[in-house]
Amino acid sequence: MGKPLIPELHDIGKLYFLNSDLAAELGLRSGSLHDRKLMEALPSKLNLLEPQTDSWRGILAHHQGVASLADLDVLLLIVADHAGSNISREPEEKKKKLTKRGPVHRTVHKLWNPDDQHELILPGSRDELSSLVRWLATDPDRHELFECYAHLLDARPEELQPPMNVTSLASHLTIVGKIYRFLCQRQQFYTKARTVQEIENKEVDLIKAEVTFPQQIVRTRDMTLFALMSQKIRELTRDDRVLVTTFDQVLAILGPDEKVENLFGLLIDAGLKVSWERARTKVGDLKSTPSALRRERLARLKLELAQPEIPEVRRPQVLARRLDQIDAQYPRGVLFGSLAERFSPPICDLCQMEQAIASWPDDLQGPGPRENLGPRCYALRQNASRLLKLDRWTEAPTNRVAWVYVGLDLDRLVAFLRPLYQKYAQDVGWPQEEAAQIEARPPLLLEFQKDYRRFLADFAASVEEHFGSENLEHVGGETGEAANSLLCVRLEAITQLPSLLSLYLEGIKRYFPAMLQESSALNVTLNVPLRLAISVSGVKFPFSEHWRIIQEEHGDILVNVVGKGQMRAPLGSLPILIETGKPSHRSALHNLVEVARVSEALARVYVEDRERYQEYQPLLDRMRPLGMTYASLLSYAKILED
Amino acid sequence: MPFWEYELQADKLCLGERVKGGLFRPCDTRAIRYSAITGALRSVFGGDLHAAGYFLESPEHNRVEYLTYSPRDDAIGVSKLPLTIQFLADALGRVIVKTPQELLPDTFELNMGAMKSQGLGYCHFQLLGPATMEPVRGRLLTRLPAHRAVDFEVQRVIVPIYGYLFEPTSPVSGDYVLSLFEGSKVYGPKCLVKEEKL
Repeated sequence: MGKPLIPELHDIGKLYFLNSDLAAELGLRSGSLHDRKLMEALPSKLNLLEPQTDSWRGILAHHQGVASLADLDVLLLIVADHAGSNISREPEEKKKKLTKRGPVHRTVHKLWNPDDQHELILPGSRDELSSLVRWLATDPDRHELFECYAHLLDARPEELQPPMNVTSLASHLTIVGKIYRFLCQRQQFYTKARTVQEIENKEVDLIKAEVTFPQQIVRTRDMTLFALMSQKIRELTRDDRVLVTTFDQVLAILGPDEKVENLFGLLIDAGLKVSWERARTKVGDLKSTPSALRRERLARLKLELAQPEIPEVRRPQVLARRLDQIDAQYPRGVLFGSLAERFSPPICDLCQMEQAIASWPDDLQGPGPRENLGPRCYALRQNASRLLKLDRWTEAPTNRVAWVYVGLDLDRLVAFLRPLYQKYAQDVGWPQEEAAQIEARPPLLLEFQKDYRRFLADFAASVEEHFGSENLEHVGGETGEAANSLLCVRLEAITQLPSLLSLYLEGIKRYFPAMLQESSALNVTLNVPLRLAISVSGVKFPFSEHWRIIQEEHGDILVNVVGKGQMRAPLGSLPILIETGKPSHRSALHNLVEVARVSEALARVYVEDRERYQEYQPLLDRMRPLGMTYASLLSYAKILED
Repeated sequence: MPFWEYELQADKLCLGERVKGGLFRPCDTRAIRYSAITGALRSVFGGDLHAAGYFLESPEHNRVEYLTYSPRDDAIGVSKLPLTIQFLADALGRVIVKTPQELLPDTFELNMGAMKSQGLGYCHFQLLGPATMEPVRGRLLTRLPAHRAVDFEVQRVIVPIYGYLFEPTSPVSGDYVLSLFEGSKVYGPKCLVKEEKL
């Protein structure tokens, strides 16, 4: 018996192009092999046997747009293909009408980096086509597909026609495969449905979760928690219900009757904490995030309450009732392991969520302070792998370190991508009312994430090159996104801080130039989906305090120096901050800090003084439109004082 | 029993939290937990009272600062490992006390929290008036044992954030009890809940 239908293979024809010479030779017309007639005719024209696999059947039949329950796998493939698309396929006729306006583009248009385009040459020689047919006859699986065609899948847009050309086939196929298997495993989606539309109208839940841990990390040994978290999130990514994951966030789908505990069981069993939110949508309308859908509902409620039919005095009651309804529609919760009603001391010193059963270190005669630990934290300590460089730095207490965290927030990512996508659709000729319907859907989030991972890897590599590998520790995890999301850098002096900001800015310019344009030109700083937090202290200062500050809502950029202060800034102000940190401005900043030591009010007068206008005013004039204030300047000046 | 709202002021205050790793003692920076404030008030005034509170979000107050201190063991004549203590400078908070009117004066001072020997924890309380117990929907600002939530007129818990607080069961012993922590989404009294706005 052959393998079941592999949904990821259904668009394989999009990776081949039959040129006119070979087409004439074979008696076919030239074009993409995505054309059903070309693909169907190919084996016989090449004197090869037609593959006898379910995947081949899917490749040919998914074009039809209709299928019967007799071909259930093809029916579900069509539904998954639509759900995994950038733009809702409903109604198909409208889309066709809209997309006949301009020329096709053969590269992926990156909304966040439109100039990053690469020429795509699709294979199509007789040998290449023969190899394709023979390979398909071997009934390959999805891993073989992604291995053999990695480069092409990343480079070929899912659709060539703008504005649909914003995601690669790789992102599209990944989501299609997950949705297909999700539907296959749940009879409720197809037992009473006969058509694609009926399945697309079935309800499904969108889940977004944030993963954290209750422990307050003080010892470097406990930083293994990050490795544990990244390992568990990586395992979860293999679940077909999970569409997108980041360092600490998960976007997933669930059947309406399925429990979130079931989805996040492996995280909870590992002692992690999961804050989740849920929103009901339809299979054919998988878009956005639950909180974005909830915000839309709250915006409608605000309009509803403003109606004159609801008397002023009744509004609080109506509001309370409606909010209860919204809570039921968009439930939220926090998952953690089982919690006892009460227990006797001692409590676990590390997580404070369970009774301590062991003392650490095991050696009762050993030197140093002892800690009481619960079973989860004790196991964590025993399995801990040490961060050797960080351990070595702690031997010299005068060492100073910067904890550098770069995070990606899925809600903010949706809010960032949606206007960019809508603008692109208008630029290629879509009417405004049609463009306004466009949403950021999971394949687009996945596409962004590919560049985000490259950006993180480049940023970590540039930090390593600048500061030296002996001064850099990857803390966030053992590999990939997690490892590069949280770094620890040993600093010689605080004056090295602007270098970290410069390296970050270089990465942003290279991978996400649209973020700088958006922030500065349109002043929509809240939509920047990335957050950079740099927190500096002596090496002995407890990490838990850095992590607490990093976790707080702080906008695009946070620089914190323990004992000196914090500076929060929008991304658009980064070039000016870096300029301000240069030696040419140091004496002006030093003078400002010295005056502020006596009185901060006096420092403000000092800055505004006519005699020093030329020294400070250009700085302030450039900072003010970006939301930077005198207080920010003073904080930054203090931070740069070594 | 009625509820009273007091303003708490202290130059330096280190409440709650336990020493971490033998070298760092963090402090509560947002919530004034039920166990700490109720214990402190009962030790001075005795009687049947319950209290909980929170620190105000204010740029001029509640600055997080650090003190490094190396306690000396006089018995063996050596200093122990230096301990870094986190504390709030210019602490300003609100404390809601459930008590008969005659029990607490309008203004009073007491010492509470850690490091009293180093000058921390001297607090001044000023009565502001009866607490607003009108129920609103929003985020809890304090930490309360789950079984005490009803005493503070928390009517419904929508999304709980749990942790544990110490509850004495006798003068020399006690248990850790499941508690609602700040940030839990509840229907509760306006004086302890940050109301959710549309």
